[in-house]
Amino acid sequence: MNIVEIRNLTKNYPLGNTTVHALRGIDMDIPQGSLMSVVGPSGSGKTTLLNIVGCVDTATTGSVKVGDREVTTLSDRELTRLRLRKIGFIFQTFNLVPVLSALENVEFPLLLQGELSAAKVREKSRQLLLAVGLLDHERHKPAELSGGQRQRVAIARALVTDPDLVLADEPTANLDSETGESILRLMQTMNAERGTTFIFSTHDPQVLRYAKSVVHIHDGRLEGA
Amino acid sequence: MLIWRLAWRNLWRHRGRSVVVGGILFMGALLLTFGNGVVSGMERGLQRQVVESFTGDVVVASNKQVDDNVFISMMGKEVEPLYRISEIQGAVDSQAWVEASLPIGKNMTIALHESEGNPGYLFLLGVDFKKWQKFFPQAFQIQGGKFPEPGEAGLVLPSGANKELFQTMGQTFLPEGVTDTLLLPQEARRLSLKTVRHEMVLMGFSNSMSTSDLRMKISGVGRFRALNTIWGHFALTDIESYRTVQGYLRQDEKAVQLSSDQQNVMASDNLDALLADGGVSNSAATTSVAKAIVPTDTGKGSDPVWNLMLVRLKGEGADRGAARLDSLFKTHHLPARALPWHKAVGVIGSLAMLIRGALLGFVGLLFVVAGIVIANTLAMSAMERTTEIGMMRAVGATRWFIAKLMMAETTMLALLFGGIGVLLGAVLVAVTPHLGIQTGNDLLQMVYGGEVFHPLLRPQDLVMCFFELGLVVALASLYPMQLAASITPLDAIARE
Ligand SMILES: Nc1ncnc2c1ncn2[C@@H]1O[C@H](COP(=O)(O)OP(=O)(O)O)[C@@H](O)[C@H]1O
Ligand SMILES: [Mg+2]
Repeated sequence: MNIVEIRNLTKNYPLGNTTVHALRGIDMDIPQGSLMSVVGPSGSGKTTLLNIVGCVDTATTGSVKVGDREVTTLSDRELTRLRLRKIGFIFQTFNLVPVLSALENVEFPLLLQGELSAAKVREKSRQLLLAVGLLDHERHKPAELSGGQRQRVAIARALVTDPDLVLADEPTANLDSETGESILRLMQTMNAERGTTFIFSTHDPQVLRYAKSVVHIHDGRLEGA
Repeated sequence: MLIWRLAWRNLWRHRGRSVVVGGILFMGALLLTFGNGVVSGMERGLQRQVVESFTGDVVVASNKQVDDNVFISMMGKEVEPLYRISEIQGAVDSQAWVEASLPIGKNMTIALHESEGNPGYLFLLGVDFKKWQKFFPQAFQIQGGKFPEPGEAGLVLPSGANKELFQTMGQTFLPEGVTDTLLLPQEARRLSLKTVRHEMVLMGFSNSMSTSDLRMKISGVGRFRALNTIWGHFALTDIESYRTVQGYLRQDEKAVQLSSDQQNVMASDNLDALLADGGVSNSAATTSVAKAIVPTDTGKGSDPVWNLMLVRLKGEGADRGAARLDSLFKTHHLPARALPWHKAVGVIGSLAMLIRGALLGFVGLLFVVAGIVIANTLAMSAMERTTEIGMMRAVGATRWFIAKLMMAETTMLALLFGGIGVLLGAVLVAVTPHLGIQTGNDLLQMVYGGEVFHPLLRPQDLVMCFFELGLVVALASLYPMQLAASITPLDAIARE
């Protein structure tokens, strides 16, 4: 089963008097349980693609289905709901709420959902912090954590709602290579253990070996597709 | 819970800005509270110094009376006579929201100089002394002599009138047997007590042909307890003497009086004759001596004539009360109209309303300025946190969640700093009267709410302050809230 189906997706940005064609017709199926890497040079359209799949940006034309739902026609409210329940995000930086501790950051989406009791929320969040190896840092604020530790907390938060899909736009770009690889290994483990679909973008060919599948993007088009 | 925790920690994290916004809220709330206190104190002061000392809440005048300003009108402007008083008073008193009513006479009179000299001018109130004292308890302090007894004719002079008469006429007046020179105008105290007069000859100053001059005994001197420099121009006399001076005679009285030798006096002493004579002073020789006539407030035809009826209300404001009385007069076809007190005292009322308006305007301005500064600071704070807010939105926070978060932050600040401001303002209002800040200036006395600066906060005023504070904060946070809620995840990502 495909968790994401993309048909003829284009994205244009108006820029002054001209138009930037960030995506020029993407067709793509992503099966459930994938650990897929989107690779391409800077400016090739990786971020744009991930944003549209992640329901934080809208397509210019084409169709995008996330878990059977056509997302190009949804309202802001419905997109927000989809992000909260079905999608996890890991950004390059600015991942965490600065005033919340590591544990509270992991709890955050569950509290937004408001379905589990406080005790259950805490228990589940602790489990994920344990899984990313940071239970002993649960009280630390983001500012008191290293870059790698912050990304681990972000992974725990992305997974705590049991989403169908986790998107990570260049998650290792701000980390040294050793830490970056440990983050990718963690994603690998989570993908294997939980079957969660991961899509991460990178411009670093070094990290490709962590992906189960790879697509190359260049100038808004997929290569070899 | 999550929102309050986030809000509290955000405030703490950005404590510099929190203190700035909080400081504005604090100062705003403090000034707002104090300003409201001054307005309330002033209102109560006006109530005491004007409504409860001189005018009542509503003043009823004849429907022929054109000028609203019946009390402090320019010289020579006559207040129209008010007829059919028993019907009017009956209709007014039967209203549940009317507490009491009191008819009075009021007009300008001339005090004649009995030897060579200029005459003086005097506002004269014709009253039933017993009823007037009951209507305005404690309003007038007798310092020498006494009020005339019922049925007795006499004049009660406040210090202001005495001073003015001395300036125009060069004469001073005290009741017979009163020798305290301190009761004389300051400039007159060095004069011999022998020059002090115990009687005054008053002459009506109206368009009526039947005004007459009358020799009056000075019964008492004293002062109005409030706003004496203003009310002190008004001398009080028994209503019968007043009517005689004004020439307000009932049909049946007229017949009697005209047959007496007063006919003679009146014929020669009306104003036209006086002016034709080329002087006022030499006409004093033929005055009559006042003798009180027992009032006979009987049937319609013989209703005595007044000028005004003062009305005290309960549980109804002056403006609305006057409007209700007006419609009452209309339905009963009564020849009267009602004025709220502030219209009846002319420039005094306008000034009071003006000062009150200015104070409220000041509070309103404060409101707007504080609101703008707060809105600006909050909007800046929202913009600074774009990435953080956008990230929360990406993770699944709704626009409403972000709006609530901003609201929670401002509410906390408002409760904390604004609350302290209101409470401190209330303390300041409570303490100020004990500082004994005094003024002899009548205008300031109106603002001060009395001779001592006396702002006032009743429980409902305090509630109002909190309400106004809440309103400022709510209005000021609308724009920042909407700004924060419109931040999208993309705004956060674009900043990376
Ligand atoms: N908001 C935008 N406005 C205008 N052009 C944009 C905007 N975002 C991206 N682009 C352009 O779209 C193209 C793809 O950008 P992006 O998806 O960020 O590439 P990548 O993530 O691979 O570096 C680039 O040429 C970029 O300049
Ligand atoms: Mg990018």
